[in-house]
Amino acid sequence: MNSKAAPDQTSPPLIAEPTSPTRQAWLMFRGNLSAMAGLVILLLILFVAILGPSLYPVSPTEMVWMPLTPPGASEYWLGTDYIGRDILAGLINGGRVTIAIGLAAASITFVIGVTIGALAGFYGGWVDNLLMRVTEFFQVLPNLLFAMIVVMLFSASLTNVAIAIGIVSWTATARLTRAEFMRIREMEYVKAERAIGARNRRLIWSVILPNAAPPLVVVSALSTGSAILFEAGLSFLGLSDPNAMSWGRMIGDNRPYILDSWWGVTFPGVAIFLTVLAICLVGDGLNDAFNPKLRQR
Amino acid sequence: MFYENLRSSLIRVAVASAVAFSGLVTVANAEPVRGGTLKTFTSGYRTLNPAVQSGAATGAPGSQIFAGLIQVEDNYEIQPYLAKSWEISSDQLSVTFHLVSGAKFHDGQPITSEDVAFSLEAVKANHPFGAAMFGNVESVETPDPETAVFRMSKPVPGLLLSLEPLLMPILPKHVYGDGQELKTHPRNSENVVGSGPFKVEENNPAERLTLVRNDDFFIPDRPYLDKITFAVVKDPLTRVLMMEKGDLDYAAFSGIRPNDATRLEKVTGLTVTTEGYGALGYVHYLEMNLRNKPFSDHKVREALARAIDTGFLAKVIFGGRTEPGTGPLHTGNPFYTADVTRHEPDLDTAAALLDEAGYPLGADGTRFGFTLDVPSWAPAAHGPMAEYIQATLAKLGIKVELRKAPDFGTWVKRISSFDYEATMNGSFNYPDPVIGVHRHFDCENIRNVIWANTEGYCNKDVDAMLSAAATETDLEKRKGLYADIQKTVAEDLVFIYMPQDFSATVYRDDVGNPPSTPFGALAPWTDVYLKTQ
Amino acid sequence: MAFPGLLRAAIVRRACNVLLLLLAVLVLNFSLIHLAPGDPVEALVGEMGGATPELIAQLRVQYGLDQPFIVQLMVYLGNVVQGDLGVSTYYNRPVTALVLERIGPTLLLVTSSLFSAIVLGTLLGVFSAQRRRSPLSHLVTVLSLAGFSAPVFWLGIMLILMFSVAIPILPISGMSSGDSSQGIWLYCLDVGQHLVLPALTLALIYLAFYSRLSRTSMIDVLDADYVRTARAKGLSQRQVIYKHALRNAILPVVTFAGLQFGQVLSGAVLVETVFAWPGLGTLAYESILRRDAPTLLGILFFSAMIVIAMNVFTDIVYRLVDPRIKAR
Repeated sequence: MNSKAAPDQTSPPLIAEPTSPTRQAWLMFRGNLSAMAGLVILLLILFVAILGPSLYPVSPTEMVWMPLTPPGASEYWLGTDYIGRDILAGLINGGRVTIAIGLAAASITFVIGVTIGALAGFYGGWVDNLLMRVTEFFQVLPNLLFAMIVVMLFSASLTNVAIAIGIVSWTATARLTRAEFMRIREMEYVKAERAIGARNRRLIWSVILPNAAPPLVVVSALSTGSAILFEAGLSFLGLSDPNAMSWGRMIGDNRPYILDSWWGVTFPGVAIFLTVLAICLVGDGLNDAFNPKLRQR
Repeated sequence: MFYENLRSSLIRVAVASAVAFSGLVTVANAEPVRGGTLKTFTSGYRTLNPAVQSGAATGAPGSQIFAGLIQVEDNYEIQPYLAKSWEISSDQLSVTFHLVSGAKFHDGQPITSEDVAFSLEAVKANHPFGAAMFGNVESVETPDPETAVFRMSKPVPGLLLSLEPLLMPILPKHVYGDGQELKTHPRNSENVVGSGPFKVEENNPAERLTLVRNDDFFIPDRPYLDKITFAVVKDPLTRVLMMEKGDLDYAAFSGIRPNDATRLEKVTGLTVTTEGYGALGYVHYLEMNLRNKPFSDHKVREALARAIDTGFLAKVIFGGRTEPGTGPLHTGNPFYTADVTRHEPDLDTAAALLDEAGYPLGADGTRFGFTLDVPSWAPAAHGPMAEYIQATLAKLGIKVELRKAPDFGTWVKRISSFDYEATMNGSFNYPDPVIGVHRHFDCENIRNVIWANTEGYCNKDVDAMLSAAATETDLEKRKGLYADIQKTVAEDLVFIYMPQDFSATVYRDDVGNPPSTPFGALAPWTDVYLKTQ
Repeated sequence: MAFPGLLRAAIVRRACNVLLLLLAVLVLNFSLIHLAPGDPVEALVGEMGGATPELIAQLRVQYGLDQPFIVQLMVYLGNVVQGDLGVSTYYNRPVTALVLERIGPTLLLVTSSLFSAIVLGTLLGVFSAQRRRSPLSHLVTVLSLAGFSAPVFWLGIMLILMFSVAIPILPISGMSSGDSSQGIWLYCLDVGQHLVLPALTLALIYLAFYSRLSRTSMIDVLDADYVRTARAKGLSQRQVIYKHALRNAILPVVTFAGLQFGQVLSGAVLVETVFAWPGLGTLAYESILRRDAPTLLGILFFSAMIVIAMNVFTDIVYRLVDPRIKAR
């Protein structure tokens, strides 16, 4: 795609200018149309989630109009749900909850996954063996089912939902981190650090981890997307905080009424879809940007 | 609007097929005919034995499998069933039942008075209302195989009503009398031997329950139907579509919502009726724990009653198809009175009451907060009610935190151990108030049992009236007692009554004699038939 | 034909590993469910419509809930070793029977959707890898992103809206409609019709995943040295693709199919709930609503076994497909 050289590029840079890897990645990313589209959508969604409630001050819990009013038939553009609540207000306020849980769960996923993966990959031997057994254990259990049980047992508060998602989703992150650590630990510069007497703690967190960061950033972006889908699934099943509106809960609540209201389930679904899609596009873009070799794919 | 267009074409198709159907109906016999399979559904049942399980899921098939001593017809008229006749002693302390001769269980064993005596003890000990219904029945004497004499310590005015198969199914003593615990007896769901018009052919709780005609049934030429299939359909939406497509002949306790009713009423060839629920009387209410602040204060309860606009709720949740409840009795109950204190919705009065009660508006805009439990068993009603209450009380400065237990047990535990502040709740009246109503108000029934007197209400006057009403055999006097009870309970604001439930039955016009007595679908379907075979 | 010593040791180690894993699944889940607040007897009593304290105590004894936790755990493990997973507190029937009844429908749903997703996905991936800038290739990219981003239950509802409500050509839910007396072929046809939408829902999600995965690995393989060598030797494109490249490109697909099986079961919980499919997923969901601990434990145990079996199975497939492992 870059073969069509920009007109102002008068002379091919024979000696590449020394740019930082981050800057290089950003340049790469900026040139990626779909990734930029994803970024714009994502920023837009975040903007609405953060500022929306003050720009559109309709309460998502108030019964404001006749139940099951179709979109465009009242001042509530996207229609109302089965008890006359404004769907648009639900979308705006629900986005906050959905995204917040997604981020929180992804952070938990990241912390557990990276810690376990780093320790297993760095130390190898019995530590690796033990931690991989633990990982296997979590891989063997159907994660949604396990999360459902955890939420059932310990009540469906927002915190519990985020924790439940976090503790069942970290295995992929752990495996990736482990692989990266095993690869990097054999690199010359790590050996050099070790030779000058660097402690394990420093080797793990300050030497290897930064070098393993690019794929981890990508995988965390994707796990935020998964966590949002996961939260939606739990809410759909009714395992969510009844005091907080979320997109998944809107789909679950409106589902019994789909014969009379396609809008009640469609709009929140589209919102989830767009958010996760945007995150995926950004994640893909980051992946390409960090691995220019893979660009052609 | 692609969807709307397609919808209307779908309706056209439905109308066309319905017209084709009605053509057939006109040719059909007006006289009941034998044969055919009635397709209905069940939302899933735990057991098939109504002696150990209350509710419609077990009751609908259970009342087909097991017979009772009597049947209840329209206007609560009591008709012979397994008992062909009975005499009541002048002191009202004994009733002698004469059983139909030659009646047999499904395995060919004769039904005798021994089985009646056994069933009564079984229900008394195991049914959730066993003690309420038959606590005053001291013994059942069996002078001969076809005679059973009930001896009571006090008159039991609701006795005959309670001998309906739903509440007292006649069980085979030779099956259940083997010493095993009845509540968890394996034969409650496997290899069930009943006494009623239909026998179990296949019981697969995941998919389908099939009942076939009992050819040896003690009423000659009944039942009309050859077979009944209960498809296990837990999803209400699926049920609506199945009804629309004609995949279900008959659907009671369908959990359809008012908007579904509106939809189905438009389908030619289908009838939507709210008949057949009179004996149950499903009442929804907000239950507050009266032991603790703030709900121990009558003013606070009155403030809530004035804040919650149940008329509005009836319109929004039930499409205006039900009435707001006014007291413990359902408006369809023969003992119901409308003459009770009602609190017109008025937020200003409510605020003033809260000020008086010592809950002024704080600097943060709140007066106080409480946790409102929302059970999982009536989501279409309790969810919206709780959400409305949360939104409305927020305007008064009361912060309501909803707590939804995903599983039934957790909610039961919280309420029955009195470990709650307020909860959405609801219960059935059942035909006699002694069964479904007394339990909520009797001081002695403050027990750690769900749907007992869990709110902790105790009023000696009400207690006296309740025990008088339980044994009063004069109908008018009894009505007067219940009217007074309703007035006092409404005055005391024991519960805040929500709109009454919307219960509807849908059936194809091809179904003859759809069950519409007070017990409706929970009565025997001996007379039901299919017009076209 | 004796196993070589090394292989036998590997098999023994593997078997120990599996047993340990299953033990961990049992112990951890049992502890989790039994140490958490709440009590299955309360749920049961609620289902009955209420009960006296005496009865509650009696039921507790009957289900062994009056014993200390460690005793309960040991009794449970002992029973499991003898093949007894306990009795469902709700249905009052053996858990093993309940689970076995439901496992068939779930396996039917999962394998049919997974199989079609893998076959179709691999083909799509392979074709698009050969023409990286073709419309097909872009379609695969778009499809894979869309498939990943759409909530599976929502996709199911949308399909219902389209094919059961707007254009009512497929059943909305359940696994069969008529009675079973209609003959085996009609019954199969009936089940087949009911299977279309739920299987399609699950398959779409995994089609997205596998087409992308096989596309990526195919590109990797096509760029690898040995494929270039094969090309240089003058082998035709078709020979290169199917003899050398495809084999290697399938490996990651196989690995993931095994690794991901747990997730596939999770997806099945949602899809089964949406379509009221009478499988393990609906049983699990219902058991959660009833707090039916023995059944939940049984389901977790069985699904762990299914996942492990799938892993072993994919291991074998892997060995069959991968020439390098075979050579060893």
